Amino acid sequence: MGLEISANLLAGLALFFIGIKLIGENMKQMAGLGFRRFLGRITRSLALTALSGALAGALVQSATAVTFILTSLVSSRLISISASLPIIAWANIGNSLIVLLAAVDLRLIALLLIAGIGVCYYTNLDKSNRYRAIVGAGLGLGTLLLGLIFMKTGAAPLKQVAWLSQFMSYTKNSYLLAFLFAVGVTLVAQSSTTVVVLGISLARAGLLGPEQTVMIIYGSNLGSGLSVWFMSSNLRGSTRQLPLYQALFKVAGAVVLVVVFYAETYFHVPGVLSMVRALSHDFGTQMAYVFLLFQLVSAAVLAILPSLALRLMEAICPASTEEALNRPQFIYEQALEEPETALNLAEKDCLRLVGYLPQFLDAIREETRENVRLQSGVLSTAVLSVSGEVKTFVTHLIGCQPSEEGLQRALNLERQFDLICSLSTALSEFACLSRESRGVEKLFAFSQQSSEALHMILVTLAENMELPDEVGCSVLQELTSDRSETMLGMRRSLARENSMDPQYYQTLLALTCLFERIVWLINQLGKTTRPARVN
Amino acid sequence: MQNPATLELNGRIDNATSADVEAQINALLDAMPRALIVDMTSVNFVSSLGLRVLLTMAKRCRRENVKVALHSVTSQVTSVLQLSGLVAVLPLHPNRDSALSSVA
Repeated sequence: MGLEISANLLAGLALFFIGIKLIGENMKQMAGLGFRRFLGRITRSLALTALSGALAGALVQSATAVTFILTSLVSSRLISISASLPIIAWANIGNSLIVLLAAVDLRLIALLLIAGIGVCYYTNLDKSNRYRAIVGAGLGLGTLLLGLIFMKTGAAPLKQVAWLSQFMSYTKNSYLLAFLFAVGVTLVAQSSTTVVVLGISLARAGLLGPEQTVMIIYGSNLGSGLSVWFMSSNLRGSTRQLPLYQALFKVAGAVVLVVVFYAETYFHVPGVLSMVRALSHDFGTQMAYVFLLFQLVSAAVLAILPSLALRLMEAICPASTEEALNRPQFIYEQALEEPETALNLAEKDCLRLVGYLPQFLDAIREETRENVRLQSGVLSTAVLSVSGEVKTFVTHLIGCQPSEEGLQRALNLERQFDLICSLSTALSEFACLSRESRGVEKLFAFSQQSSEALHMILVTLAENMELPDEVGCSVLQELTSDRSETMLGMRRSLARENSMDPQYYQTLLALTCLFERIVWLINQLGKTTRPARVN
Repeated sequence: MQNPATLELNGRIDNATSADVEAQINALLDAMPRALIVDMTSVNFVSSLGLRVLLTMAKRCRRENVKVALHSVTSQVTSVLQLSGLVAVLPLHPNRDSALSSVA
């Protein structure tokens, strides 16, 4: 039985993470302004936030899953961290409300969703540009739900494990032991429901008192919060703030309610037990109220201390350098209402990317290779990510019917971003080839000279795009003019050094061709910049 | 307008030395010569920043209508100047006489 339980739990966890990854990857492709505006409308309204959070918690029956889905949305910049927090709080409440209202068959939801996705695949909707991302995200959600079912059904036989029931009944004499036991078992079993259901059955059998069962509910909630935190250990930077919020949510509820519990038990101050006894005579319903109360108290504590929670989240999970790099720094959605301002902002983000280009060569240049701030892979991801987002912004801007001049600037920007992306790819390859040539003296010397030359041209390009003037523009065009004759001469001269080694010649050819391509791309990018008009 | 100004550069023109080289060039150009001749015989390395200093010099000379020429450039430095495209804005000459006659 032990092996089967473990296999179910591990397979469930695996499906859960595969589902999260699928959702995240497809959400990134859906990250258009339309979808962002739709989510923006939901999160701006308190009622819609509460409804969507509670519904998500009730349907998915796991605040953990909702937290990870929201983390994917935050990573794709579809929703902000601050807008996600109330949704998580409401998902916890929705998840506990469903225990009181009616049982939603999660298995049925997952199976119907997967069946629907199967139909989409059968009708080739997964290949359509329009629906591919939605179908992919749906498959991710279906996989995630299947993972949850595996974990829940995998943990269910734990109720029949004799030693577990026996151990739980030992906690009859200690409230704290019951609490700690529930934290531990929830962390291992990944299911607070199983632990709570086991506690309630033992209490009904007279093996546990209502006080211990309450502590088991508190402990299992804290355990599920800690489990979210541990499950998010593969995340980096501020994307880990939401799992931390979910953990803090549970910690807040546990701290307050455990204090209230001891005050009620030892000093007879009316507390949770008195309240739920007044609300219902049925023990199961009383415990469902305790479960709901835990979420309400947690939400209230974090609502009273929002700045403390945010400060903690920012201190423990600050934004990583990569995150800041991968985001546009200037554009924002509301700017689309003012096309002139929007274009200025998009141009500023474009200049920011051009400023990154010389850094691709830091790892190979003599003066900087010992102290590289950002690797070319990181820079390349940043360039592609920011370009993609700003280009979507510019496309929407073109749809807003700007003036003739505005349209020209927007089209010019699109061309600039295309050229920047091509330059980023070519520079990454050049840096990679240069590193590979280290073993061959002449080739390495050539790559060093080329990198110094390219660095200078790229810095000149950035300077010229920021403050274009007549002399600067014409000089840049001269610097990047056709040099195929020069390169041919250098290639022949270097080829004579080691003409017998095909590997040497292949690297030489690739390096010189890439060099020419980079110079040509800079030339084209330079042509998109017009000198400022002098009044 | 005065006679051609001459400048002799040595060693490496890199992060450590380019500020000094730039100051020397600016001091010479501030005196408004009709031409500037740069002797590169002893220069054995020019980094990106060094190339930028030479480019800034070329741009200033163009704006101020000052003729400029480099001479006696080593083969290693010639390669960097060719790769950077600077040879299109800074003519290279094999020796001092050739440079002087080009700006005459």
